[in-house]
Amino acid sequence: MGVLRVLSHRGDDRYTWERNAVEVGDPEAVAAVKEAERIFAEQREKGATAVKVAPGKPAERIDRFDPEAQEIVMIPRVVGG
Amino acid sequence: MNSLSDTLGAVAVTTIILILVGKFVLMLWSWPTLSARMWPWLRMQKWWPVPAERTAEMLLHDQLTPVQYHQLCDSGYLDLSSALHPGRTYRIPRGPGQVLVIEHDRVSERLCVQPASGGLPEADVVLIHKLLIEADEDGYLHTANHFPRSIWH
Repeated sequence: MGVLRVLSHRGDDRYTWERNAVEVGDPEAVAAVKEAERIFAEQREKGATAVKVAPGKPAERIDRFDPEAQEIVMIPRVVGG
Repeated sequence: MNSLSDTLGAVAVTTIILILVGKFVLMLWSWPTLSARMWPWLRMQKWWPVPAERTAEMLLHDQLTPVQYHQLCDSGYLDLSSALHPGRTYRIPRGPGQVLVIEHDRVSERLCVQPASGGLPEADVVLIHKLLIEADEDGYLHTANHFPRSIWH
């Protein structure tokens, strides 16, 4: 299962896709991953930073959507305070 | 007449006791060590009335190691070692406040970074600092407003 989380004032919005089903071309899974990719691009345009997270590993910044990722967190744009 | 004065006396004593108990509870509530533990625990309960805070607290709990989460609950801050600068630690507060840069056990500067849009739950803000420092420390430092020790010390 892949997860895209978008942090917001609602906590976080989650979009999931079945990574194994995407590999075998399942239409629903492919549609889900395309939707996640669209949201990823939309958030990036708004200035969000995307990081890939996995248990026991430091977060890794990514600039392109990774359908193989276990979990991607979209961090809203930050500014100096 | 005696019965009226007894009743008034009982009401006065009860009111004073309630005020003292209330003050004691408020004092405990605002005690940093206790509130740093109490609020996260409350936010993780199913009945917590603000779903966004509950979701954010659960996510923070999942994203931190057990040691990191306990540190955050015990002390009210999260210490994160720098990957780029040996001997440097970033101290991320839970709640309002600046991130402290600690080098060789000494605060060298304070950093101010915040989400451009407000209203994010407190736990999400802690997570944002943690993820950005881990994933893009240079970018984080470039974005932050720096307050060197010489300014505030």
